[in-house]
Amino acid sequence: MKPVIEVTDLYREFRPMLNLKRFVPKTVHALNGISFNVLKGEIYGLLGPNGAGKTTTLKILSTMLAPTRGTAKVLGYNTYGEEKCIRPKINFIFGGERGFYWRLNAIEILTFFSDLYKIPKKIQNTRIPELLCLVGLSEKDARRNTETYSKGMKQRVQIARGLVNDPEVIFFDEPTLGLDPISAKKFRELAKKLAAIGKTIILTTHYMAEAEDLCDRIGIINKGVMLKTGTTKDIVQEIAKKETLEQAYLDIVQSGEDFISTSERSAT
Amino acid sequence: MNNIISLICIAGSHMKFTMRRTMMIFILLIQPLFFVLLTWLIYRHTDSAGTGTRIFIASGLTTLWSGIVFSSLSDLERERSMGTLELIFASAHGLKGAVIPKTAGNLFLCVLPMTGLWAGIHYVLNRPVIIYDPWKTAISAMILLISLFSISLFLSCFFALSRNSRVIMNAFEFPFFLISGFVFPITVLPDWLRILSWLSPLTYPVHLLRSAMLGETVFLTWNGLFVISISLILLFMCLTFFAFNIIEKSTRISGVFTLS
Repeated sequence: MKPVIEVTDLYREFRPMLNLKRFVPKTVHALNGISFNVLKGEIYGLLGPNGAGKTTTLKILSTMLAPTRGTAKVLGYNTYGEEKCIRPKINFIFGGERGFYWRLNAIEILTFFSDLYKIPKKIQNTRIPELLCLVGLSEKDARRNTETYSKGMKQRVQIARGLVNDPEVIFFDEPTLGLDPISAKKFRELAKKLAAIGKTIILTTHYMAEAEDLCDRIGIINKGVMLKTGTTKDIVQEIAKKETLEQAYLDIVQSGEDFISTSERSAT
Repeated sequence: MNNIISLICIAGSHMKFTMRRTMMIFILLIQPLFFVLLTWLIYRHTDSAGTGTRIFIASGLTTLWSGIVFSSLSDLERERSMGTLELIFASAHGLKGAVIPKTAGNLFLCVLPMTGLWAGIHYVLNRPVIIYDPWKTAISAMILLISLFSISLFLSCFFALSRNSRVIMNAFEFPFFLISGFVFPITVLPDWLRILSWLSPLTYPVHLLRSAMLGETVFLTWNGLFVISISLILLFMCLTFFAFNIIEKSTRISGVFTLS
């Protein structure tokens, strides 16, 4: 089966703007040559500590950022240069409370984003109520300004927003951040449903139990380097020889950290 | 066709969002009153028949420009801090979906106070707003609005690149009142300052409207100003078209939308 997402030797550097305090800006190497593939209908978990490069990877794949080197392909198209072919077929959902118009209600937000994806009104009229139902928002709540919503309700609107264009590939960046266990469980059920109908999902999370429950395969990255990638079972039992993903993750990240530090020292 | 319809719908959503902001209510309702008061104080001892028209032109233009600069340009910074700019950017419409409907919607909103301004000057201040040539005024007003749209579209592209939009925005607002002839024709300015007026793209459509409404020829005939204004619209539209493509790429390279 041809992969839906192909990442090959991907690098991304950030050069902070010049300012008076710092004459020589320090380049931040967010990604240092990562490679992985994701197949259709698969849930791929991208795990790693803060600053590992997970969100940068997702932003390159969702055409928000350009790679410095290497290639990232989604649905066979290059994310830099062929983004017009990709954008209508993908969507990006992040956790937390950003990405919102606080003074609009859920229906207005979904209508606005549907227009941004050029969804005809006829389809919007049926899809928006379906999405609200899917994420469990009542008609009454959907007509209230989102600034009055709880964190869980906001996240549900985010998820519905990410599905307005019926995307083939969905990028979830810490989607259960700050959610209560029941809402998080509902999200996991939804993600499984989406994967079952053929949607390809890349997910970043800090919750190992969530990754273990959801992901078909995972990739563990740190400091922009892909440390291990494989099925959850392979990583836990065969690669790390541990009992849980959390133990395997800690072991891999720690040994990876030592390896990266040694490589950096020898490079300097 | 679907593209245009969706852009119109996006503009509608932007207007809805804008109208719920207190700042915009100030810009559309309170600020025009201040501008009328200010220009009335300037012109109150003038008894010519065109005084009401002059007050209307001055307060109307300052309201329009101020509204456009504050709404379209500062909106981009607001979108960036809310995290919506990158979502819009990565949508099917891309950067155009953020900038074109926002600018068009805000321009439409900023035109709305004009009726209130006219009525206020005409009936409350008792200074009739007399239009010298209604047909030319209608054409000039259309050209002025299209000019404002094309210029603010072009500026918005560059504001999308900057993380210091608010500072630049203020630098754009007030100097144009002075150098582009919003309140007085540029002929009252000293020669050294008039050089900046010639360079300002707003000077020509503003004087086109002044010429049609007041029937005065200040530094060029109405026809001359018409040709220059149309040429500037075409120039800014072309520049904006190229700027969109360049900025779409450069923002993705610099990561300016994704970094706070």
